[in-house]
Amino acid sequence: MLFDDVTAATLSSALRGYEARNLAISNNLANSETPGYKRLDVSFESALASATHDAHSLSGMARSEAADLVAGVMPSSTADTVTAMRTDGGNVDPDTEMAALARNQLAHQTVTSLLDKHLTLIRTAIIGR
Amino acid sequence: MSMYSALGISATGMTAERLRMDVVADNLANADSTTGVGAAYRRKAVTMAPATATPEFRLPGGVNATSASGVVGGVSVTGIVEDGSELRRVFEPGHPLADAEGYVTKPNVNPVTEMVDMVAATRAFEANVTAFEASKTMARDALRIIQ
Repeated sequence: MLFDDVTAATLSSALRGYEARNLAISNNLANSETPGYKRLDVSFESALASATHDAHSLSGMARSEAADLVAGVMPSSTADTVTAMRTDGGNVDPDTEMAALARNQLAHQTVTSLLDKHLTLIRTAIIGR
Repeated sequence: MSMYSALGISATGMTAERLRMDVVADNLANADSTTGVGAAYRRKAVTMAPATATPEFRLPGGVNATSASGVVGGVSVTGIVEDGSELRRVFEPGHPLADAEGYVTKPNVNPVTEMVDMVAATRAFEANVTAFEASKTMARDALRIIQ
């Protein structure tokens, strides 16, 4: 990649995470009335945070190597088998899912704007105005 | 593409809830349908199960997932089943479908149950619409980067 920087890698990793979470929440809402369905959770924030921390603190690491480290963070999904919400064994709470959906959408929007701004900076550097 | 899969997943939810609505409407419309001496319309119910996912609906990196939960495919209607509960018997000796004791068998449809089911289906449908809108907005935001 031409512009292998940690910032772009972090932002695109985060976007991938939010998109995966959106998928999980959509699936939870689609299955809100399915007997025995266990809700899916997506986590990536802590893995991404430790990867960016490593990328910034490890000295002697090449720029592209640090970017690859951050870009390699994959969201992981887990089924929530602990909680119970309904008598049929399902545990989707539509209100919680709606709140998570809204929060996730806002976070995604924030990161998209940041990535947009970042690319604008690069564009400015290229064309010089 | 996970963005567009989310739209598909919400669509499966909307389809399932709409079918549930159709079944409720059928039950209410047939709340008094008799089909013969000792027989009547039986209330129908929709059964749902998590859909088996096609590869494009796979969550990335479901490595920590228990029992293939990394695969998401929305919801699928597995069938429309008849409610086996007892049919109502109403004393109407003059009715052409009355049995020897003068009772007419009526459907096991309870309008209150159907109303509750209808509201639940409406709310679940709305939840899927909201998720659909959110996915659409997210896709539009992501596309704005390349503008």
